[in-house]
Amino acid sequence: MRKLVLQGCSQYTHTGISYFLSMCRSLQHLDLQNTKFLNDQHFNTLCPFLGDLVSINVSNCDKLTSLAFFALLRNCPLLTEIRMESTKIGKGSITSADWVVYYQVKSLFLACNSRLKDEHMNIFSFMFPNMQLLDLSSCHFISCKGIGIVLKRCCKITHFNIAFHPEPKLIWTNFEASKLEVLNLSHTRVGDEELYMIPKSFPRLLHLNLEHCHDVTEKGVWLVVENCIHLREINLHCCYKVSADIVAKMILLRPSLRKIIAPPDFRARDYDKKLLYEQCLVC
Amino acid sequence: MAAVNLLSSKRKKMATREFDSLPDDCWEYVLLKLLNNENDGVDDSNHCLKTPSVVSKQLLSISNRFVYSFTLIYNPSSLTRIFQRFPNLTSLDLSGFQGVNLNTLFSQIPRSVSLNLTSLNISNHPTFPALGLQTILKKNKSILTSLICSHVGNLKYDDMTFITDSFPFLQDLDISFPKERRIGNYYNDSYNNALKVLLTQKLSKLCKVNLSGNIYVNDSLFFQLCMNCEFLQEVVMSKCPSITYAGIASAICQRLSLTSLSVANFEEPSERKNVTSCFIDSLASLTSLTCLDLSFSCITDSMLDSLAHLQFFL
Repeated sequence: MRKLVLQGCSQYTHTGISYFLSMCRSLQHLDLQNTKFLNDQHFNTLCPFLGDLVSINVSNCDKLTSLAFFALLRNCPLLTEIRMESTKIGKGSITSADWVVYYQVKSLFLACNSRLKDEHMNIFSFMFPNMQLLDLSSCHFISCKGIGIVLKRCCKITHFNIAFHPEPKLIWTNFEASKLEVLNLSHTRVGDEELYMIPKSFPRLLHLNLEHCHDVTEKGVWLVVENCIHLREINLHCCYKVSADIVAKMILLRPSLRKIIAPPDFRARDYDKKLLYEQCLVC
Repeated sequence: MAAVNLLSSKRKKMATREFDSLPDDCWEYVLLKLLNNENDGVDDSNHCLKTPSVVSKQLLSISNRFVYSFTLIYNPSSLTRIFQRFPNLTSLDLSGFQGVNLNTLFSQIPRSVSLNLTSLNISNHPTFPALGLQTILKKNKSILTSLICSHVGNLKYDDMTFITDSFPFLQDLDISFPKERRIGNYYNDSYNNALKVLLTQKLSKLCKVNLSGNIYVNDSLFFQLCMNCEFLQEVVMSKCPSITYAGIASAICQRLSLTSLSVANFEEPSERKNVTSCFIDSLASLTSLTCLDLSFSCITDSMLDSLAHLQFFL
């Protein structure tokens, strides 16, 4: 058996799954999302059986803390992808013995973890130097400082998500995440000031999501489109302060654009349709 | 200033000449190396062809040969240019395509263009583009082996007959979550029968099938499928309300070579609780099973135990 998915299954207990995993040690993909009984203690006993694991999903297992996360890393030398959304990761002390560099970890999905703080970001940025994807959406207690640290140190990041970040000023300065391609800032309070920093910090940006960023105006968006010369996709859905005229101008200015989710008031004019919307999807 | 420009343009010319002197197959080899090295990231392989393709016309045409799959989201002009640009294109993904109707899109391909498609994804469209697929069929030199039509609206009896008659060599078929309109019982029955006859008897080469969200998929259909499709390996049947665990158990005993089985999310709460030990035992008889998805069902410890035992002794 290589892959086992028991998402949201009921009735079985720790004893059952522990016995199964002890007998079947070649598992590469394990999905236990929504397994409510799973706690750190249980999880620690499971980890030694998971030596071949490549990816795991323990999202919504809301009793798991940092201890489970580190147990997983210690026991699974091949693990590249961890999904641990809506858990208690961040709770529990981290000892210096846990400070090990894990080169193989590439994707971390850590959305909705309200116990994650800047200190964790600091540690993670040392531990996962080869990280390519980091999802921190709805992690409300990580400040822009923590975000800055990760993006600065993990220079291989290509996908970054901080949607629903509540902080009013998300300012990052003085670094360049030269490989970042996909940035999700939707439902945050970013404004033009933050957008001014984007081309400098993320010169290779391909996709930018600004959905429901109510403080963004066309000035900031324009600057991004003007200076991110590789930009292919931009989402301006529900950006109320961005005027609809910008759509046509963006397509003219940035021929690499392939898809635009237009701001709220946008109506395609007939005479633009033929000229502009041949090369770029506007919806 | 002008002299400097002249000099640099001379150098440029020399450089391009040296580029040109390398034969195509050398460049092909270089690009192949590049693709193999960079292909461990999160993104697809087409991505790293971008940089070499802007170097020269020669490199552009060579890198175009390395594009085997293409995802089209928008293209109001025509598909022709894509097929002309990428001569080795075998896989076309139109699941996120917006713009014209797929029938119109396919019918725009002129007669002179010949295709090499083996895999086609037409998911998420409001209708099944039978007319358009007919034109594809006429121009396609290869045999279509993979057809993905997940979340296609109004998938009718005629569409099913069309699929089975036109693509008898399908290995991978996905007809999950059709958004059908219900027109009377008679219609449903005929659709159900059609599904049984067509799917299981005409598409005997199926390896991989996704029937999720089909209310017509029942025990006897799955039994027939396992009986008749000798190459069947992967089956996904989540949210199929007419199927039972007992039915699955008797069916999979007919096809012990299954490698992947997903029977998740029964909508009937009674059936959810009915995971029988008979079903688990039959799972254990699948000696090549490598992937098992039982999400949202009731699994007891003793079932996990027996599954583990039988896995262990394989």
